Amino acid sequence: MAVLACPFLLMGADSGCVFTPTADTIVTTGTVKIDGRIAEFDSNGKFVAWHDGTVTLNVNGTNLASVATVSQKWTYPSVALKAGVNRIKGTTSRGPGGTIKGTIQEFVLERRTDLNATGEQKVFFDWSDAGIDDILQDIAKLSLNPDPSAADLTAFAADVRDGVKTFVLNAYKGTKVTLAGAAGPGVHVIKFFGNSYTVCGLYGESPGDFKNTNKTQTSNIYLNTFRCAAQPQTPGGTDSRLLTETPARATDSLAQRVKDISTFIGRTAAHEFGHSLGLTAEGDVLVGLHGCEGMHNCSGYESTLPIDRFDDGHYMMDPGPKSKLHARIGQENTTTRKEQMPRFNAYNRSYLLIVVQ
Amino acid sequence: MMTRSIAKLLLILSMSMAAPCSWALDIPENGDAVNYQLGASSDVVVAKFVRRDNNGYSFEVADTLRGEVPKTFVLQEDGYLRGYGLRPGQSYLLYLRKIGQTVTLGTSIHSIQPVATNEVPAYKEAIGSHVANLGRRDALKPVLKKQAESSVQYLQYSAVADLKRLQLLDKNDVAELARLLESRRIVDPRAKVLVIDGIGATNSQDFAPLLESLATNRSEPTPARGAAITALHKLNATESLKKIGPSITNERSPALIRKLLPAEAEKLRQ
Repeated sequence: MAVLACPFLLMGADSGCVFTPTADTIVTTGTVKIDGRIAEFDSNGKFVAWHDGTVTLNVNGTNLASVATVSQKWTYPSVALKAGVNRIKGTTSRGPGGTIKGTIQEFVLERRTDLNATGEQKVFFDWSDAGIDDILQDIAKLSLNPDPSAADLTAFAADVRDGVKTFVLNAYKGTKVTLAGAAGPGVHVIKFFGNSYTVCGLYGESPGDFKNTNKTQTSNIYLNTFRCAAQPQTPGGTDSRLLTETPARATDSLAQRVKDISTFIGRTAAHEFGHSLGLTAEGDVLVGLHGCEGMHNCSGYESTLPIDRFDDGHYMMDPGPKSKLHARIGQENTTTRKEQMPRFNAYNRSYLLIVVQ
Repeated sequence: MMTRSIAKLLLILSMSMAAPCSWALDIPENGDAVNYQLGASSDVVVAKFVRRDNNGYSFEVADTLRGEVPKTFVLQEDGYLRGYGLRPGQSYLLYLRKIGQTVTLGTSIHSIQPVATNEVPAYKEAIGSHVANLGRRDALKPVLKKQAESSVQYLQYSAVADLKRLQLLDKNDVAELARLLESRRIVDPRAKVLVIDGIGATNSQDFAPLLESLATNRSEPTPARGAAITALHKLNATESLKKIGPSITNERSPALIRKLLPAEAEKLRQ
């Protein structure tokens, strides 16, 4: 388990592993404790052993005084950070005369002084629009062969609605997002549209609200657009995008399709809710959250720093046109089933853990 | 039916116009490409942005590529335009809709592309050919394949996205696109990702050297390099992955290492 906490693997060399804090996150304090271990990897990238030795951290280009490990663990109890982006890396040495050298891969911590906890955020799932179950059942019928029975279709719609709620609440685990029984003051409503929205152009939309200044907002989710993804591209065909651009197959079980569609819709619901909590505000450090393309994760920004913010839709706040269908349904690739549930990247998650607390 | 549906979309978008803050839209994948945008709009123009004032964003039409809108028109703030950064004097391709006398964007900022003066003929040709062949998949295919070599990056991207969206790509077409990529005639970052994704679905390791070179080329955009690594995984190109491994890990980009070592990255997330 401890090996897995090592952030990056260097083959055939020592690696200085940082255990805390998590790389590419926001911190609100002026100093942080940084700790980790010295790991040895073989030429195949396999972990060999932990070692005692010495570590030298470099923060924003300045080397800090070296520290020695204690019981194979190194600790910098109080590293001062400047406001904004801090680039941290380091070196390790061990063995006779400290001749075996290793590196601590550069990572980023962003210190913010403008973010505050806003307390509990209640959320209500509004499924009251007409035709919602019809649309959900259509998705099952369009994407499964043979057609499910009437009883199965009824259960499918109920299970998807339940699955969407579970997905969203899981996505916000660790924050103070709680389920509300009705709309009202201080409640964010996720409103699902059925028959009242019949075009294919929009999965959802939400007011962007950096720092969650207004807790009583509404995100709109347009279910017909999800049905469109399950409709054949050619009349009478079996070539829907859901079945050709993802590992979903007409022979899948009903339970599998419940999971696919719950994830598909749940991801958009969590995504829109995220906008209303402030993700991913445009503007650079101390103004926004480095977002672009209409408050989304910026694929270009990660080219400039050792960070990981965009992943083709696998990250919750990736921009719509760049979010692939297989990622939206929680699959790693387009052809073979392998679950990869959408999630917030570490940076966005750290923002939520500060603001929605 | 279509008109009613469009009216509803516009009604929903107009709800956001009244909103004082910025809104964020989640549109389908490649929903900013030509084929999708033509479905979400009725008129397409190249127009010069003149100014922003209390009335909204004023434009002067230079070229009408589809439909007809007044020579000058004003787009109202819709919560997204504010952050788009329209520049006075700059020309833009705009996918538009009319509701009565009001002109709006098809899907807000996703319906805008900046246009250089020398790019106008390419836009005219591409949009005109696409409109003329809408709904005729077989006729669109050669049009889009030609467009994939366009010197205009948005048109390159759109062509590849639309070929994929309309399911017009077979193995030979992917090979042709791969050659365009290799010869650097496809340069748009998003077009590159789409072509590389297509290569990954071919089950042919013939493309492994190209993918290796893309994955390790630091001047390539990170998403394209990541797509190349993913494609090598899809092709089970174990030797290639071994070959590029040291270069990628030494480079220390978390995004690329995640693509190279997905299993390890998954464990790290837990």
